[in-house]
Amino acid sequence: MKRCSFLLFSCLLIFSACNEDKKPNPVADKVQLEINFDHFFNNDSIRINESVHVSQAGDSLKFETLKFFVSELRLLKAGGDTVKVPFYGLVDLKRPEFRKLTITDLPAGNYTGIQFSVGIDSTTNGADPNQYAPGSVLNPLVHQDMYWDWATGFIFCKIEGSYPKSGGATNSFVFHFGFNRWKKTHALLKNFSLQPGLTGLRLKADWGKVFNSPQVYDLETMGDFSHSIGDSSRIPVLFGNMSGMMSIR
Amino acid sequence: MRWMKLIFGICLGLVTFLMACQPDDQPEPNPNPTFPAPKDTIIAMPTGLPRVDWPSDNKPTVEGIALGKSLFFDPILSIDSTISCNSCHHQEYAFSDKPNARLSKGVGGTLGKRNSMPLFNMLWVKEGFFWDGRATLLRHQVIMPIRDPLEMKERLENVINKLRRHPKYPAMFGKVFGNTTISEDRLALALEQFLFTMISATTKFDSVRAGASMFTPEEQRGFGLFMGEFRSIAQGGKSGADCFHCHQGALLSTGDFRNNGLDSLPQDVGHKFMTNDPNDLGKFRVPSLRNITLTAPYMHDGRFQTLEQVLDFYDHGVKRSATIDPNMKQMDDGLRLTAQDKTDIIAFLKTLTDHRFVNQPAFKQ
Repeated sequence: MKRCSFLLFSCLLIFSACNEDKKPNPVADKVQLEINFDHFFNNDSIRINESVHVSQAGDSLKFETLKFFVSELRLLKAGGDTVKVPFYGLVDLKRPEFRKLTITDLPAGNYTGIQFSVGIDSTTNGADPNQYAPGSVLNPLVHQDMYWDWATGFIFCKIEGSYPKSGGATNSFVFHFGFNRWKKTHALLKNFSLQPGLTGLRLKADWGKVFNSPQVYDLETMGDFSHSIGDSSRIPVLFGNMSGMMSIR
Repeated sequence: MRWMKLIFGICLGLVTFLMACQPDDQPEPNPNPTFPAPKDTIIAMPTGLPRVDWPSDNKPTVEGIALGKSLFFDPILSIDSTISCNSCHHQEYAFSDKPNARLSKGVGGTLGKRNSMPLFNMLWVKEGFFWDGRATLLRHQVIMPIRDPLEMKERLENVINKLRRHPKYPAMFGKVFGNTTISEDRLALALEQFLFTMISATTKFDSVRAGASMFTPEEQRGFGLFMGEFRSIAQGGKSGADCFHCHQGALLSTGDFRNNGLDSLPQDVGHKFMTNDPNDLGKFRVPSLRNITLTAPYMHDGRFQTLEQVLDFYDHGVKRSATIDPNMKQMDDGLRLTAQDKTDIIAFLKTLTDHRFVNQPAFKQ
């Protein structure tokens, strides 16, 4: 019986080997782009729960959560053409497996930059999240704290942490960006070429910009908390500052 | 291509030939009776919950579920055959412990450190099992109470030997795994399989979400407070109870570990036990609120007897500490809930009770 299954196994091995030979190598032909996000506060690298960063307003910030969705990816070409890429990604500084995005099956060619939104396109944002296959980044099990059930929409971006308030007590700051109008689109220019194999881009996400420029944000006087509703002065300022935060290194 | 076909033909012939002569090859009696393959079974997955896969190496079978169920109810797993999984996980309480059991009781009446968690929707648990998340997969979790000196206090070797000597278990394992070998892995897989069939998704809340029923005005108001944002005194206006940030979505939990402000100096290290990260001190799994009316007492240590006490705690009893959740830290002013608010929130919480689940015959002994 043992011998019998061994023979059968060997036959199967031969066949699978034959099949492999027939096909072209799919991995080498695939054009893939890997986008790494390096999280900075000005020129200092951010370490979750560890590093302390002083904002221009004088607040000493310690980050607990920096997390956002990426969608509406486009590759930019000379002459203004763009290539739409159907892709959804999640960047989460806390989880090493979510620090880079890998985008597969891209058209090879020369590009002048990339464009993407921090947030989720409006169609998907209004759709039932329970429809997505396990493993999809949109499946609620991958991002259980990045969805608002009461508003049926994704939380696009989360900034949470702590800072000492005057008087000695430590307070938290919590900013959750959501709803279609707080989706931030970034267009970043840099010539690069995509050829079969893996091409890497390193992006700098500068959270210092979000708190410092162009408008200085003071947590103590302007508020350290917003979930994007009933808020005309906090999320709008931070959202405006986000415009300059992304760059290709 | 042609020679491939040829090899295939030869192999096929060889296999047929070998199979044909097999009876002659085996004159000696087989020490293991042969078992037919277990019958696959389809467990209906609810449409209202996120999509999730069964582990590919432990797909549900009729025989596997039956074995897991038998083990779940069998005190043979404990050192003196006095305690089964069921001893601390009762169906009428959504498989949590009895209301008077603040901490779970092990063999000889030894008290454990924490309140028994209810058991349902474990297929959707992705961040680790137990209050502190110390078991990555359910198959790891199910073994730990057997070994735990505060629970079943038994050695795995002993359990396996007892099962081997048992009149029915060798055949039951055979029907699931193809032969009568009993091992720790097989024991774990069978328990995991049965536990994964425990799905709670037929509450009034689910029905309302699906548009098939409506909340009463009281439940609706409670739902509004549950989903309502916190507002500080300075912000003015009525504050919501802001429950949804952690008790999120159809699962009513973010599934991760957080410090909800029970103590200014946490006595129980919680998730730090697993990660050794001081930032995880006093953090515990955010429990689902499904079946919450059945799972008293509340919190990891069962400190609150009633939902009213829980709401009072969130209303004005939250204590700051180094690892408190940033969302909780914002609520220094308290929720300022009225008596009517609390009544209405509890009316909403009652819609999370799954009467069908707690009466489901498939989970009865």
